[in-house]
Amino acid sequence: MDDALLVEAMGGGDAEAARELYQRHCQPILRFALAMTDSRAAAEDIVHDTFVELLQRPGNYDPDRGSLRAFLYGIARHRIAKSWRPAVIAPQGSAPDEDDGHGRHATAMPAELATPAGTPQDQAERSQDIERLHAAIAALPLVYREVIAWCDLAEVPYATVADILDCPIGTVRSRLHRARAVLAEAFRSQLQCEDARDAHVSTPGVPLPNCTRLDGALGGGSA
Amino acid sequence: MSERLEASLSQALVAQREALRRTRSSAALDARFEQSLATWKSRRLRVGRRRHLSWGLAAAAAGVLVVSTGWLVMHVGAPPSQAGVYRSGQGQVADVDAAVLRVRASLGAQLPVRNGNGLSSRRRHYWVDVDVEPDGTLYVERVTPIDEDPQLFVP
Repeated sequence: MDDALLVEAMGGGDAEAARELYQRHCQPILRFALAMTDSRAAAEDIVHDTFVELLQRPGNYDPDRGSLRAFLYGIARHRIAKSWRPAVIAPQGSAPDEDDGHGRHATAMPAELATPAGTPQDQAERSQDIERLHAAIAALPLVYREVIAWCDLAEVPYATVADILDCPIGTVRSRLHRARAVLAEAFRSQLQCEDARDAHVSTPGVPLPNCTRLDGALGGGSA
Repeated sequence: MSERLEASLSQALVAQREALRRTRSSAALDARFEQSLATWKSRRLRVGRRRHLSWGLAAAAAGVLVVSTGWLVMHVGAPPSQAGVYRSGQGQVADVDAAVLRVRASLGAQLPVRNGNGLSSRRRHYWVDVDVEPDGTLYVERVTPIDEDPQLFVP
């Protein structure tokens, strides 16, 4: 059955329709939320709140304005933006998974997102790269982080992203291009910080660069 | 450095994407949604029941209003009799063949009236006999000055 019909049935009180919609769209929304937030708990909160909002206000969805998936991404995006705070990159070696008091974690990502396969050395390197990636993504301005999350991580089609952002596909492409450049810069900065830290450990006289906030160094983000 | 960086970044992105693809919602999230769904259902039922009650009350109030208005019409202000009342389009004044009405008419004193030798300006009174036909047509049958037929004049 079509999503729009299911939403209509749900508006009429059909719980089965609501359950079907949840089953259809829960995973993609969860993937986006995981890519955007720092913890599984926060991501699941967002998914739950997104579906509760759909339950409470099904009339807000207008099939003429786009797909239900885009509508749900929009709700999730709004919820993330409301609680958005740029992440602070924790220095390597510090306790990585401390709660910041808002149910979020400084740079921690869900365990299943950081379990590379291969030889132990490969695993170690890729694990480090993934940690760097998490840190770099966490430091991105929201406007770049969300296009990376949608297009590069959650594999959402450009057309859907254009629906969500209510802009042409060309704008999505250009924003993604810029976001990738900023992400690469953040990744590089992360590497440089680690190198400098290693040098500081081996030769204590070398000063440590200020690596606490990459987003400040990268500049705030309007695409 | 740059090539290594790009390779590392793209590998990390691919790994991250694959890991996300494998991600499934936890049992805890599913249970939370089921709980919210149950709450939503019971709230809808409550609201529905309250709405039915409101409609019932509104219907009862409307019924009381109609009954009391009917009672008032029947007992306080009796409707006027329909007999002999002319209704437009009925083409009949009453259940008679015709009727003659005598209407008293006055001619204002300010208009001078020729009276024998000259003009008189006093008020004059007349009887006007009007014949009303069953189809509603009116005919003036006769106009009689009250002076000439004083026995008809009743002040």
